[in-house]
Amino acid sequence: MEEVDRILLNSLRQSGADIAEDVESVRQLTTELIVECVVRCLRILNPALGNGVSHLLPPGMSARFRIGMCLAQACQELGYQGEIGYQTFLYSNEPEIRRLLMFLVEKLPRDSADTADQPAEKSVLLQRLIATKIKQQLASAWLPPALRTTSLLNTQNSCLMNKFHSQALSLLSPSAPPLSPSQQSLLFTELWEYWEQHQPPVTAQAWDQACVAASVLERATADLSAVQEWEAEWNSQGLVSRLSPEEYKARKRQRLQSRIQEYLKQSSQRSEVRAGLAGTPAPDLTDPRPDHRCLRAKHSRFIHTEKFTFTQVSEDLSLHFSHQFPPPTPQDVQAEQQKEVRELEKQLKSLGEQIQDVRTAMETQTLTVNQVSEETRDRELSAEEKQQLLHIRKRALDLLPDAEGNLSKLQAVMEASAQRLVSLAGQWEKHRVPLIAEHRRLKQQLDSHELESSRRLMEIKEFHEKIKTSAEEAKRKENVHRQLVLELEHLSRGVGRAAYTQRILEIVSNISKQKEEITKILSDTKELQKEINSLTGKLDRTFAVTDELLFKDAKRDEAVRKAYKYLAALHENCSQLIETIEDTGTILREVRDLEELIDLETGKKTLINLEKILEDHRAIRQENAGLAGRLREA
Amino acid sequence: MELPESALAGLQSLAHPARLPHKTFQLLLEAAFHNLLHPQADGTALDHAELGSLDPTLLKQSYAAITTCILEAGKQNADKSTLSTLLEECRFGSERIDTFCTEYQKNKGKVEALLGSIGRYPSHITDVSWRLEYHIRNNHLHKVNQPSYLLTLKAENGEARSAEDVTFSCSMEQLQDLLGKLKDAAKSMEKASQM
Amino acid sequence: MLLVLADEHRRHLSFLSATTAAVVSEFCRIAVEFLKKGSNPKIYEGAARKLSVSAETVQHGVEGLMYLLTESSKLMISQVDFQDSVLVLGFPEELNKLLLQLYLDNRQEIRSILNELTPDLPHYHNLEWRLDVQLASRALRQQIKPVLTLKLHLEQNGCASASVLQTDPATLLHLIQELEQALGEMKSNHCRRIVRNIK
Repeated sequence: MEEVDRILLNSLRQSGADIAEDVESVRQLTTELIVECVVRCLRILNPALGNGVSHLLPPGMSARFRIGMCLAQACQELGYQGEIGYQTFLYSNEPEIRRLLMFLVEKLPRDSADTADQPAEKSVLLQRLIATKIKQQLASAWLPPALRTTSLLNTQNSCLMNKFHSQALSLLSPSAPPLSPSQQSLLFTELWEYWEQHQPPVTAQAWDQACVAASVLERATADLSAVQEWEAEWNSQGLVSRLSPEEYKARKRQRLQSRIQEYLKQSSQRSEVRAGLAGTPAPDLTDPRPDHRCLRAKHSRFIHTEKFTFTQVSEDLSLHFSHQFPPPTPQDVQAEQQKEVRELEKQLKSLGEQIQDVRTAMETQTLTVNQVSEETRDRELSAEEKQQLLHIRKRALDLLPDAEGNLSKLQAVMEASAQRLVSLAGQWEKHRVPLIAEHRRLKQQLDSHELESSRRLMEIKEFHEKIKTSAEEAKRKENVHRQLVLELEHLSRGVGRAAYTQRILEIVSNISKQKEEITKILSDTKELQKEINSLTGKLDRTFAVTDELLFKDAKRDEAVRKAYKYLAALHENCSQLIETIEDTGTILREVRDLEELIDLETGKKTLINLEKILEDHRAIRQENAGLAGRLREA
Repeated sequence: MELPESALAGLQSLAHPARLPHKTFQLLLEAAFHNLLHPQADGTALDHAELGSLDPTLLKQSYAAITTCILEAGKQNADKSTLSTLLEECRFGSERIDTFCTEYQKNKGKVEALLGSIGRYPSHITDVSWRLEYHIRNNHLHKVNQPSYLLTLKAENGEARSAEDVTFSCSMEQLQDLLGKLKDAAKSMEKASQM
Repeated sequence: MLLVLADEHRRHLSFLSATTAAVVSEFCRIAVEFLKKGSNPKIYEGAARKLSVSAETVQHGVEGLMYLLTESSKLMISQVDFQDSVLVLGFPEELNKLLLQLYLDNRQEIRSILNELTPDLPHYHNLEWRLDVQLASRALRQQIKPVLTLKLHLEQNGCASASVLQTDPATLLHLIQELEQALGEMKSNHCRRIVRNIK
């Protein structure tokens, strides 16, 4: 019984009943505890039934009686077969309570605890969270807007809402902008001075306090994504270009600058007005600030950024101006502005006309200039040709007087130069051969180097991949670890399980041992019965034989007759004796049964319960009397 | 949870017990939380005597780092273990990690409320007021004799705190229809809460 | 309450007493038609040619009938009052019965037409709702915020407008409670007494 009680009490404790640790058997449960246990179980089994009843026993007798009736009815509805009434709870006896508790505990959903412990699927978890949140909000009271606390303001109002509005923050950046050393040192000291003395703390930089958080978050995200973008680009394009990061950046910057200049040139050609505008930001754009990294990518993106920069610059300017001049009255300003506008328009018109005139003049001029320059070029060409011709003819004329001598001299010179040419060719051959060999060797070396470097590149790429995968792996494993830790925490509660199974196994083995013993005893009894049977049979037979023998002789012999009489008496006495013994046995059995009954009855605490009932009866009477008195008073 | 390079550098400069006494660290931490949750427009965010003795650039850098860290943690709903892993990587001692985590846990709800209040929504109904009228006659029709309700849904919308009330009239049947639909919504909400 | 007919009106209607019942019933049909769908002057001329009277007379007759009907419908005068009012016109008994029948048959419809002329406030037309749960936002990646999004369709002078609103569970319950009170108010003793007395 002890084991059963312990298991019972443990499951009751799990169901939420407040049972002290030192209570070890059902016998120790007080009436209050019994009611509490039953109510807790009922609440789990059937919330509709259980929630109507308080788990605390009220002081008033009639209320107690009512609770008892309620519980009894609820138990019967659950399908409890045994006898049950208010007395079961209020005047409890051990076996009945045990039976009732066992019935309830068996009915308890066994796997409810298990499912709660298991890490549920994410969607289920989310749904459950949503459900609790809605329930919580449904339960919270509505308050007039003026009375709301901040927590309520967040759920019941949107008046605290702010847009996600971020602005650029000035942060101390660990990497100084790349500049030439002299520039750098100068700029750096000034920057440093700004950081040290004038830069406000982050939270004071925003123009509106509401956008502090948004700005900080946005800055963090921007920094992070810039780094990621750079890494991605470096891995995809930078590594292949075989440059150091600095060189790569420098080249990229150069490319960008040239593209910007080209674009500016184009746009300035496209329209005069735009040229005027584009002129101002040009120095700003050519200054390669790291923040303008985004400029590098595509043409369309560049256009976008350019626009952005223009507007920013003009805004800055206007801001600047509005700060410097005290604002005059609006009418003045308007009148002045209108006058100015009119004047400017007039100027513009006249200037436009002038420009038009000048342009047409210029066009005709350039046309004539082109024609004239072409003509001069032609003339110059023809003049040159003629001069050469003149030169050759002059030489020939000079050489003409001593034609023979000069001819031979010329031939000698020709021969000498031919010979020199041949020797030079020989010499050149001599030099060329080793040089070609050298060249081939170097070329081969270069090839091998190139091969090596591309192999290295592949390796580097592989390593990058490996690093990425290992990082992912590590992250995944960390997650698994965290989950496992959580599971372990959940599991640690279920230590009792092993002990239970151990105990159950022990009980089972005990039972099987007892069963063995019982069968042994049974077989013993059977054997004994058999022996008894055979003995009786033997007795009967012997008696019959003896009886016959003696009866035959009895007619003749007086002594034998006497003996026969004795035998009959003996037989009768013996059978009487046996009967008596059997009677004793049944009586003994009865006595044992009665004793058991007595035990059972004493177990029911009848006397104490009776006294309790009497007392309660008195209490009810008193209550009734009090109520009646009050009624009369009323 | 990932933080940008500058924030990590700022946190690392906080980790050194010799450069920054624990008391000052705590003060700085508290100031960061306080300034985030109770923003002041004036530049007195870091005007504490103890903090004044520090190198201003270092102070500003680490202050920015702490602020970023708090906001990112709130945004990602980081738990204690994530936060302490991050701080460990910045070479924080266990004492400072504990201080940081307890302060974070203490203010987590408020930080979440702050971040949760960033966004846009349609106007939010906060209350309703109604008026019952009995329409008796008008210049076109006599003996109309019908009840009609004038409802004002008091709504407000975030940033400008402007009241964007919606006022409309409805007959009794229409009000019943409206009420029925709202009850339907409430019922489905209750159903959703019992999953 | 009797309808007081102006002299001019009587003059216009007196034309009807000179014609047959069939013509009068045709006139009545036209008058009701015009009230429903707007007038059509062409019909006047056709009828005038048939009856060989001036178009103006026909127009006056039809318009007189229209006016009679609208006035009596507007005041919602009873059957007896209508009969008494029409008596002044000195029509034959048959014609009076015809007019009364016409009045009774079309009273409701004319009232509904008149009702459309009343000043119109934006009024409730329909409500759509949706239960949303906000799970994440740009600044807060994990959150649970149940919200009921409502689309309220209103109507004014036939043109519909819709406004999108939202509310939270607690306020929703409050709204329901308030509106229930509003509905219940109509059944309260005070309101019933007023409704009983204004008749």
